[in-house]
Amino acid sequence: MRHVITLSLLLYLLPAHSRAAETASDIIRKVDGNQVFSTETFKAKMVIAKDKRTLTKTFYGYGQKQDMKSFMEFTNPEDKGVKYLKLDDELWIYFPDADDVMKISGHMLRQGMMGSDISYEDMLENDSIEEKYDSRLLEDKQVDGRECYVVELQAKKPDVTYDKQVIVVDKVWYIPLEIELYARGGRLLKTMKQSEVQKLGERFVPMRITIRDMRRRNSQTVVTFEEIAFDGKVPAKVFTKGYLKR
Amino acid sequence: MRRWFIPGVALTLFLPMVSHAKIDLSGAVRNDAVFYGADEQTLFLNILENKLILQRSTKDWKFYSDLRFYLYYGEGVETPAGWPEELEYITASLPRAFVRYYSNIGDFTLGKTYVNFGIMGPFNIFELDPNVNFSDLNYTKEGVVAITYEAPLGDVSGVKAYVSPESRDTDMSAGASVYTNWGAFDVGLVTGRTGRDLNFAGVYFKGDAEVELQGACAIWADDAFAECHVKAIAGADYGLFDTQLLFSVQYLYNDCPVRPAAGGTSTTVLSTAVSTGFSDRHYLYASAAYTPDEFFRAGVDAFVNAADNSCLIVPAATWVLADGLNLTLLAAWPTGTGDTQFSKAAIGNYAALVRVEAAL
Repeated sequence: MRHVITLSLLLYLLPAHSRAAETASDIIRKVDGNQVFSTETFKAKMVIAKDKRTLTKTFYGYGQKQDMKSFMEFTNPEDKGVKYLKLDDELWIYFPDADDVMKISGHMLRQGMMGSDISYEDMLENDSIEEKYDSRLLEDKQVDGRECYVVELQAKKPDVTYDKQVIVVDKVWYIPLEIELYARGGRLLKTMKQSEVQKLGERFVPMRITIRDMRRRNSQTVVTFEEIAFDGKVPAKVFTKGYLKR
Repeated sequence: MRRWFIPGVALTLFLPMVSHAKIDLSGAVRNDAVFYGADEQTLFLNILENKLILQRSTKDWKFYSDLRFYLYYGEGVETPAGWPEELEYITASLPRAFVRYYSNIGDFTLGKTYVNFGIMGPFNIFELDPNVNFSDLNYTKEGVVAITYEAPLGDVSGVKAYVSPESRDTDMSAGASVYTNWGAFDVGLVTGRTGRDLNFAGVYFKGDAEVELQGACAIWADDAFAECHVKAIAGADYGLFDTQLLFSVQYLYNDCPVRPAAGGTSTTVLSTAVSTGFSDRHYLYASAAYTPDEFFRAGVDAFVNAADNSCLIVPAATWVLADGLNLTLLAAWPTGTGDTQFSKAAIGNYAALVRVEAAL
């Protein structure tokens, strides 16, 4: 019995990376594992800032992990009733004034969603990190006093939005707290910070995401989730083109 | 006042009251100060538009109405035929007012609605009365009184149909469309008929082949197929610098008989609702838009009538001053001569517009 207690204390006191020599693949698998849910419902606020000016958008939505489906509707006055439907890697937008649906494709996908630092391509990112990237463990670092792994991800194929990513993963939550996204030439395109992590059931969820598109001067977008729930009910037929007109 | 207006307003106001519904109110106020350069003077026209949208959505049905009031003021005011010549007048319109019911067999819409067959854009060959607002290509298009039916045939496929009765301003028309998503493309088949002894059938597509591509082709024929004509569009969009600079081009081929172009008066080119028939054989639309961020965008649109070699060039810049508050500066220069569609004689030497718009 004494041996068990000693071993437990030892495990607790030792640095995390000494406890279990996790490989980059192990870490990425756990990060991917944090995304396991059947459905999600959320209500969020997006603040787009440039210099001292800000624009605020509010929206709610639903997601379904199977078949990578999601639906969003904007509720702020300027964009009220604009809806997005994402089915796998296809995207449609509904415009209430026209009562019509438009498919977004090709180069248009690189535009910022509602003018934000988040592109439509970012929205369409579906697959697990492990499927698309080779991973390599770099030297650990601390973020806001929390011990983190640093993992470099290199795209396996050229058809991904970002050729390289460097993600800083919390050693307890397995949530990336910082992400750097690079183009093929090595240029830093975007940075992302995830904070205000809350435990919802067995899952850790960042409630605030800050994205900066480095190609836009003095610009950043902050998404704050006001409500988020997993594995609940979503309205029937919500992930269909026909529902956009409702 | 058009015949549908009074029933439309009644539907807009009466239905929410009797249903004791919690109505969602939104809208916008837009003020356009427009200057027209004629030969020896500059005319001024101010258009104040108040847009009110009333809406209620439940899981079984939806009510939606879009009611507009316009105050026209200035020496450039052109009052409708039969109205007294005045410097100021108020008018109203109801582009949309409908009830949509979601049944087990599909969605039914009754009221005034836009029948959206084909592809959104400056040229839609399936539109019965093609029109465009040169100062705002996304401006709400006038709907038609109709009953429509739409039913899904899967997540991204469906069928829709409509019937619109004859009115004083429009002929009876009916149409149907079946649409789906095929690979990276939205595709659809459309067919229809109007009371003008015109039938049409065609196909459209829009999607991604590295460049965004869109196209449509339709055959228009009379009942006896004695006259058969083709309308077609082909277009592409391409972005540079991570789409901060976006180019669009669209060509319209119109083999249908030439009808007199609507509009074409000196103070209507930048008015709130412009109806321009793209009735010649060849048109080209081209645009370049620069959008560095959500707070500013600038661009230039050009409409070319390749049949009479006239062109309308419309540069514009928009600043987002605050949440929901925009300022737009816009100009329009016609290049045509003589009696061409986009000529100085028809439109004036130039038009310039200052727009302030606030969302409610």
